[in-house]
Amino acid sequence: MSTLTRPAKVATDSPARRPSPRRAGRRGAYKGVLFTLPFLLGFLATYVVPIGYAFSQSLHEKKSTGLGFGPTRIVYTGFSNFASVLGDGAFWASMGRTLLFGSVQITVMLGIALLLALLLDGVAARAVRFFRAALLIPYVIPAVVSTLMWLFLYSPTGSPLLDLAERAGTEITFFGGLNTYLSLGNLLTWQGIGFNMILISASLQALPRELYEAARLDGAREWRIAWSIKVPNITGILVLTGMFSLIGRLQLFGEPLIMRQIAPESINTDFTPMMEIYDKAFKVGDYQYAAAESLVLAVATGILAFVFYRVTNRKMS
Amino acid sequence: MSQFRTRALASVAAAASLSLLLAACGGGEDSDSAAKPTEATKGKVTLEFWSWTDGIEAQTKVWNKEHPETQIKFVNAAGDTAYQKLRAAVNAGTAPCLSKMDGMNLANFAADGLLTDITDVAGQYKGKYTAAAWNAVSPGGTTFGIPMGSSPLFTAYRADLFEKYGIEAPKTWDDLIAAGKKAQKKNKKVKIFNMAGEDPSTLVDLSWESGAQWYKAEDDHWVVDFTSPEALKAGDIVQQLVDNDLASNASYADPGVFKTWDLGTTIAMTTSTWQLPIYNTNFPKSKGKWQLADSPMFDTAKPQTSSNFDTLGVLKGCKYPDRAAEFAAWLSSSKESLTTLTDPASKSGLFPAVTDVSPYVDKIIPTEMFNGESDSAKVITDAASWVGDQWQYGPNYAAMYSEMQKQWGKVMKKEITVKEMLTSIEKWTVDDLNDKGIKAVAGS
Repeated sequence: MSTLTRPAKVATDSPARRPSPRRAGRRGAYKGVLFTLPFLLGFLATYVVPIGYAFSQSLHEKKSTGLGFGPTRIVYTGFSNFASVLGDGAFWASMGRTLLFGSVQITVMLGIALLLALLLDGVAARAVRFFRAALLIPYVIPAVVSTLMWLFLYSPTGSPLLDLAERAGTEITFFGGLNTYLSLGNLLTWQGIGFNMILISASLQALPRELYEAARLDGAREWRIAWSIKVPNITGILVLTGMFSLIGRLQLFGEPLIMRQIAPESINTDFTPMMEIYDKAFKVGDYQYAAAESLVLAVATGILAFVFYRVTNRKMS
Repeated sequence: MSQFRTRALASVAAAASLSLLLAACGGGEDSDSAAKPTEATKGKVTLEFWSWTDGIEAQTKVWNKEHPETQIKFVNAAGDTAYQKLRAAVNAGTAPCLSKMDGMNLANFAADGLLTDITDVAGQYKGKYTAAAWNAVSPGGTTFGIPMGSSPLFTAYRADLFEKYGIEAPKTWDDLIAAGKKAQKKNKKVKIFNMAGEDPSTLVDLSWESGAQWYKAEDDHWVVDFTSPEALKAGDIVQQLVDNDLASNASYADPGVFKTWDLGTTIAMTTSTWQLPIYNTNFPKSKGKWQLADSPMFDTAKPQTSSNFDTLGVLKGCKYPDRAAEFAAWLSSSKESLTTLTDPASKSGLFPAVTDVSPYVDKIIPTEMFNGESDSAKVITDAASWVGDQWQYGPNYAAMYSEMQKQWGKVMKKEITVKEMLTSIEKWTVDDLNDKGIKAVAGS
């Protein structure tokens, strides 16, 4: 906790140029490689090898003979799986759905996080500590637990909220159409506000206080200081949290999968790209196609993150 | 920054797939010994058996005592990922000889080449089981396992509420629709049936009962027919339930699903033997108000029900398929084994797939659940004897079912009709089979 509350150094402007590294001799380079060996081995074993395996899987397809019961053959089919994925309407629909949903939800979540961080920045230090801890609680609760908690609140058969609404004489529903997204968005925002607020708050703390004094001398009110000084100086962290959240949304899996238990007709098995991949691999048993889908998702996510970073960075500078 | 937490969640799935990888690296000795066995093996052998049914382990001990020649090593494979573990074990060459699996998975495993053809060594046991049960272990006409249990379809309904709304237990599906409408005239909120948004099994049951054949093996190819008159007749009942809002849509995965019936908002359900043991805990408020009846029929003169089957599949690489079949047949058909397993004390929840179930019915009925107005034992025995034996699982049934699940949700939300779904599934299934190198044509 203490490490979180301490203001972190955030790169808002490009720091002074680092001195160019000393030309290391061959021996030095060799030693350097040795130091990175543990990392490299782990990286190879847990990233490169599985991705390579997935890639080789994705170049194959399972074929049967006769009536289809009995031995199967795994045959090399080149990029045929990738061609199918690229033309797979359901896969791209899930991607579009997740992106559209994510862009709205992330904007709302970061907006609230920013607002709270700015408010916290304006109050006394003791209160800050309390509110920070309180707002961080949703993040501390394991995602599965908090999703289950919301699941009980949303459940069409057992929700206390529905009971209350019924007693008040109205009928509400948490799923179907736009409601599905509102319910899921509420859950993700509830989970995400605390952590994003901490990051934004930390970078606010790192801003030099003299700026505010100067602004006050010039007659600026608090909201003006917030809008014209604080926000422009923390765009770096906003872009960063935005990008991380975007990547997170494209990998959205556990929450909708759990929510599907109570709203299967609203959250389909291909609701998000990850759910579609999971279904293909573990329900249908088509590992090869699922591997191709995973790789396409990874590449698409990488491109999107890059574009997002480029576009937002250009706009800010 | 919730992507960390999302990742943590996703890592559950990742861990599952990683364990597959690790398992795949683990073994590797002689996985290619899957020659078709015809002769009996000799000498003393030990074979591994996976199951997750309560009470089975005790039975294997009984067997082991009586059969020193064939020793069974029991492994409790309980868990959500049992089938995934089994797949990984086969690929790694460390699979057990015999494993519990449901009929749908048996077909799925067989289609993926993960089972052993035991047609020749198992033929001698065929007569012990119902024709429908033997079909379930013989997809495409090749036998890959031995039937274990069945769960024939019948109806349970709230007799108290039926009386209150002035309706009777429906004899046909049309009766059910009419009764549902009549009940809604008395109470707008009441539903006569439930169809979960994730679960097209209602349509499977209806189609099975109507005599439809989604998959039919003909010589060297499959005839795929989701739009035959029988299939459409079944689909039409679902459509009427949806159009008239006669069914609730409680998901079977919803923790509160049983409240729907216990509180009386939904007043009837089709059900089966495997559910009987859980009634007592799940229906505390409506205990004693229930009554059993035959499932609604399409043709009361020719009653036909459906059933899921529990099976024992013989896996690829099993060296002693004859012994595995012998043990499996003893476990699932001998009087000695079934008397113990159908006793509620064993907690197996098993209902046998043998031709004569009458000795085992009485004990599985939770008497305090029902009002005693109908002969529960007769309902269950009849349902078991009426299971239609035309139903076949095709080689891409699991993939088809997953595709159907996606569209089923849309049907429940009235975005598409059942007929549109069936038409599109038929095309999808034929294309998918042809894609996998299997000959298939659309039926009608």
